[in-house]
Amino acid sequence: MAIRFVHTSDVHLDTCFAAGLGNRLRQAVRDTFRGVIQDAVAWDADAVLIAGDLFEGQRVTRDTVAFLRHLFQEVAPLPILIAPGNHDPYIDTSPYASAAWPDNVHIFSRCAWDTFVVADDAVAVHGFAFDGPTVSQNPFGALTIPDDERIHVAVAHGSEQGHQPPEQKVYAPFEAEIVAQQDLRYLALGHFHRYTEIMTSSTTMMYPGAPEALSFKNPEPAGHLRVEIEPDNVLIHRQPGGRVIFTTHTVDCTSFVSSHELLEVIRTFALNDERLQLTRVRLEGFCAENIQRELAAVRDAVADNFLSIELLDETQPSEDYEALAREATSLGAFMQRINDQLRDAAPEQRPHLERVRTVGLAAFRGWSPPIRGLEREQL
Amino acid sequence: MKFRELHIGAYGTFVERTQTLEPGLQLIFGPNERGKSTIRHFIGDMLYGQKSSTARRAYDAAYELRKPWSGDGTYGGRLVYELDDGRVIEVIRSFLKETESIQVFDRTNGVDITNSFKQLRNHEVDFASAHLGLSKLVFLNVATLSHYSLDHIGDTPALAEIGDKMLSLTDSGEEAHSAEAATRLLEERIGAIGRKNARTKPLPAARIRLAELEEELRQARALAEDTADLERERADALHKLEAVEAACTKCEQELLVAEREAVVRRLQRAEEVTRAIEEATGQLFPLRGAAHFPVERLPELRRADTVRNTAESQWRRTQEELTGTRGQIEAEGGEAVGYERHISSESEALLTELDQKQRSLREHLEENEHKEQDARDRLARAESELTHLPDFRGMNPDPIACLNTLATEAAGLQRARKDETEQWEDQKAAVDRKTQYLAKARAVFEGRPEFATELRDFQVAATQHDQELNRLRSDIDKERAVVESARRTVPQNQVRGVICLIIAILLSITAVATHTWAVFIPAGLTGLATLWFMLNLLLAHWETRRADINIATAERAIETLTAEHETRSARMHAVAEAVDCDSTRALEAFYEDYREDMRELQTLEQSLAEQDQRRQDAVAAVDQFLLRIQPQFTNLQRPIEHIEEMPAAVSELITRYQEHRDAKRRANENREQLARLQSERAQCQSDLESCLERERKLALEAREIMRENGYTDENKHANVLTALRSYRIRMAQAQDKRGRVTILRDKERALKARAEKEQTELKRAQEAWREMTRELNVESLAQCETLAEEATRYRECVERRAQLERQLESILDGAVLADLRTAAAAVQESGEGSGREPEAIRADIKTHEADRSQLKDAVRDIDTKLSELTAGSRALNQIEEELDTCREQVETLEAEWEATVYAAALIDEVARDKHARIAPRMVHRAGEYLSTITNGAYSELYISRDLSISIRIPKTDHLKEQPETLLSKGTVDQLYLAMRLALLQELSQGGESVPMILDDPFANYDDVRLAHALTLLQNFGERHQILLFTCREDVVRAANEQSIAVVELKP
Repeated sequence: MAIRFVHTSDVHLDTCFAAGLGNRLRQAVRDTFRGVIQDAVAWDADAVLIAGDLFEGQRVTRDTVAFLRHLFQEVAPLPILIAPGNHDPYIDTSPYASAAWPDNVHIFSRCAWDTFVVADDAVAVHGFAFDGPTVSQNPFGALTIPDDERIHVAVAHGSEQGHQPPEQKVYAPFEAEIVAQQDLRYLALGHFHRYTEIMTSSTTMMYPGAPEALSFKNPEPAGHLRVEIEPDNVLIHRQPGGRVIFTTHTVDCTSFVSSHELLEVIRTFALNDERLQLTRVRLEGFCAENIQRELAAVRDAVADNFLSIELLDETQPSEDYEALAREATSLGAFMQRINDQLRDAAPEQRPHLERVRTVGLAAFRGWSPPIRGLEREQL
Repeated sequence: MKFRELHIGAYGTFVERTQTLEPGLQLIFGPNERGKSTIRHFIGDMLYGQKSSTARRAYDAAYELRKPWSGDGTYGGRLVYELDDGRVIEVIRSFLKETESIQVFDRTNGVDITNSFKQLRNHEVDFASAHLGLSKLVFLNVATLSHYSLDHIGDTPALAEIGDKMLSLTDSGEEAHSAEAATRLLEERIGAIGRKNARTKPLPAARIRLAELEEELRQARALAEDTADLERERADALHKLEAVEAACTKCEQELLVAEREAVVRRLQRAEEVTRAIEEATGQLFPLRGAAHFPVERLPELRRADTVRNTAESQWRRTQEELTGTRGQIEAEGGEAVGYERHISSESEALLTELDQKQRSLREHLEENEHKEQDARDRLARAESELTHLPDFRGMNPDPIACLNTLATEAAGLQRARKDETEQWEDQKAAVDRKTQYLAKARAVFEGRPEFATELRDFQVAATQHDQELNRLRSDIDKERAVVESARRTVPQNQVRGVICLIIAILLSITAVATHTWAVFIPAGLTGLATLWFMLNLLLAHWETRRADINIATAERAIETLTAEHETRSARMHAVAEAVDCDSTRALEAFYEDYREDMRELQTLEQSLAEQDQRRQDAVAAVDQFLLRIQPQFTNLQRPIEHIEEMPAAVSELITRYQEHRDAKRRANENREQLARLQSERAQCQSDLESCLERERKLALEAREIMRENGYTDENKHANVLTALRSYRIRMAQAQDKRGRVTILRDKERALKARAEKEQTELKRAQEAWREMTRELNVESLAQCETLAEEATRYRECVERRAQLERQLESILDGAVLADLRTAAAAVQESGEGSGREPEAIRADIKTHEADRSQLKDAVRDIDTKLSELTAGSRALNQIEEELDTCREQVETLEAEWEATVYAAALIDEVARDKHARIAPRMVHRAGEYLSTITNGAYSELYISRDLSISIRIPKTDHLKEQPETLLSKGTVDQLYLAMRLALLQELSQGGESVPMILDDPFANYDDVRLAHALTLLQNFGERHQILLFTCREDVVRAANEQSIAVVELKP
């Protein structure tokens, strides 16, 4: 008979989001995690493997700890095996150490491989915990699987170097091939927020990814995994999850005559379903001055279509600064002075001087660009 | 740069049209709709294209507007211009988007130079900027001037507006946007972001919020540490609890073992107990008196006593609390009376609306009054000005035309007088010159009418004299030649004679001596020769003498002739010398000329006489004209004595008339405005009264409601709305108080109920106490306690005995002592035991249970503390989220603030530099130009660095910084033109001369100043080409008078 696990990681309960959206999104993360646990019950899993970063250790609230305890209590005696990661390390102040967890919850508490047996002693689950924001020693090399009749499975948080995403930091690095030399049927991993599959000759290693989308870097929820370990095979079933989605779009404003056209285009980006959509729209090309003046209004007009929308004005300037600098006017002198300064400026000074140029030129033209940082207030 | 030719392929209304343009000032005349503006736009588009921005390829509105109307031809054309260095450039453009193209040729060198210019980001070739040194915006705004530019310059702030326009053109190339305005805008922006002390503005507010959030985060982290400690304590307590529970379980198991061991001890104890029973029985006798005292009731009695005391104290406390609550109710209740009825929101809204309307109407009325006062003041000023200004009614309908006619007539008469006088003077001068020229000659020739005959006689005599003289001189010469010849021969003859004589003598002597006669022959021959020679000598002497006589005669004759001739010549020479002639021929010629000159002189004198007559007529005409107009001008407060004063007087009167017209216009406008304002005020007054009436009714109703609801202070509020607001506040306060009273009443009710209950309890307790003391037959608790003590001791003994008996029974547990002894013997034989007493184990269990209870309490306490600590605090992630956003906002706002401040400083700096360089030169030039246009009426112009304008008003001779009220619209226009010319010259300083396009800028110019302005432009045109578009024929006439090239646009 097959052994069944539900594998998840990187839930990041109580993580931070943009101000004003945090509570809704954090609740969405909770709902999603609850869905994962309920799926384990529904699927009649033998255990739930949580490969780190279940919550944000520094920010986790008593309510969240209570929620987890209650949730795990509800599904007892389903074993919940937790290998703490870099965001929720097993330290004295961690709820892992301080809270009283139900008996069906097993938390790996050392930065060295420990074993916990489940499924009527048929499966040995090996795991280790981060004992700080970074591991004090990397236990991956020290994994030794005993030669017995059990099925050996491991759960851990770390970076498989061959699949390390560039946007994420490296923690507890290891190489899949070295781990694969052990008689390990399945390695339940955490840390990568995207679904990552590492197939080796003997061991199946999976990163399920974050069950809920957390940022524009990982814009879609990765869901969780149903893992079925058969005598000769390991079956992986990806389960969708999460209802938060981050979308990024690029709009070329060159052909727009008025802000209405931009508005219409942005409205087409709305998903109009149950999901919570956070959208970022990059404006490129040339943007007429009248449209630029209305960007805040446009954002407000489409705000109802999204949970949040952010307009990034990356359009090119509508005037030739070098040509302006040749004018025999004060404006020309101003542009010449600022262009000279820009040519000699260090890269970190350039944004400031470019803003000075934009603001100064607009003032000469008799208008004031929207004040950055006050876009909402200015409406 | 000078435009030489433009060829329009198709552009607006024009199709295949070529126009040649001249350098300098050129007037292009055409009525409305003839295409003057189209040409102007065509030039701009040919130079700079039709893109709306330098960075985008998007077209501006001109693209569609100037598309060929007929659809024929190619949308585009050709423009030829000449640069100052002499190069001729030809630009060929196609504007059509699909086939858009541009080619720039250097026709002088015959090369295509299109690619030698920078290409802008809008794909335009930047040749025009390279050649002119001006961008499209600056060229179109600075080099183009139309009456539209002047339309919105009002009378009052005219100079300030001109200063602003100049600044703006200098700063941004646009009339509307100056560096000062930009700096102002940036200052507003800085204010909007927030200066340091503006705590309500976004940046300071965000900084404050950031500090608050950082503090909140710090506290939250400290709290998290605290709660972590507590959580650890809690976990420790839970772990201890688990340990205690485990120990408890262990003890219970141990107890079972211990109880088996206890059997042995039971026997021992049974025996001990038996002994103790007996001992206890012995102790009972002394205490039997109190044996029946119900000791068990002592706690009951104590409890009853405690209950009674507690109930009493509780009842008292409740009473006190009730009294306090009642006091509060009384205190609050009085204030909470009334204020129950709401004034309907509709009424209040209506009242507010009426109040706002009233305020608005009052403000309007006040504003109206101010305006009226202003209008009255302005009217008074205008009327005052009118009273000080001449009355031009005698010159209706158009005093300017009338004055111009008079000026023209005066100028004509003056010119005629001047011409006639000048001609007379010229002729007189000619006569004088001729007279003077002929003065000498006249002195000589006057009185010698036959001088010609005389001269001829003199000439004949002279000729004869010369002939005679020549003859005499010839004779003399002949005679002298004879004498000379004779004299030349005398010595020879004398020598020869002497020699011959000597020879003859010698020969004679020889002959005598020798007597050779033959010698006498030669002596004779020699003697003959001597005679010959003597004869010759005599002949020569005679001839000489005769010749001398002839010569003397001839010389005398010559002397006589010469004397006669000299006498005649002296007379003639005197005449010749008198007229500076060196010969008679010259004299003759001179005399001929003299006679001719004399005839001319006579003609001139005759002509002079006629001219004199004409001059006198012209002078008389001027005098008559002067006599005719003097009363008029005297009436116009500008008396004139001389016709020469006419132009100045007319100019002054026109200025005054313009002032008069302006003043009159202002007076009429102000009168109309006054009437309108009065009417508006009446309307406002009526509306206000109606408003007041409605408000009064509503106010009465509202006040009645307020009074009915106990608000007696409503009459202290003049305004019902403030009363309403106050009433609403009172109502809210009353409501609040009523709420509090309700709460207090509820509390009172509860307290009353509790007091009643407690009183009942107290009574019950007292009753119970009394009942109990009655039952126990005691009077006090002390007595009772003594009895109880004895009874207790008795009972304890009894109890101990009973207990011992029970213990014995228990120890025996139904068995008999013998059985127990048997069992004990059996246990001792087995050797099993825990080593501990069951009681000790039970005690341990009890201790563990107590510990468990304590630990549970500790966990509860920790939970409570945790709840208390975290109450009201936000989660860290919420604070961090807001903190991140706030920090980002502060950083963004600071960056915005710094960028804005820097931009403002930089603009201010460059503008100051620019203005400091431009202003002095502009002052000088603009002053000159203005002086030229106004014929010196306004020559002193001052412009500060910020281009604020001051001007010396000739009428007052005061330097006025804001003389707008004293300047007519025309003068303002002229000042603007002068400054624009100066600015154009300034902007093209050191570079290409920028051509200027003027579109009917003379709308408010009188004829005199128009002429002067044209003269100025003509001079200005020597360096800058000026295309002057006009639809006015008077401008054309003025241009024709000044020989300015005029081109008429054909349909």
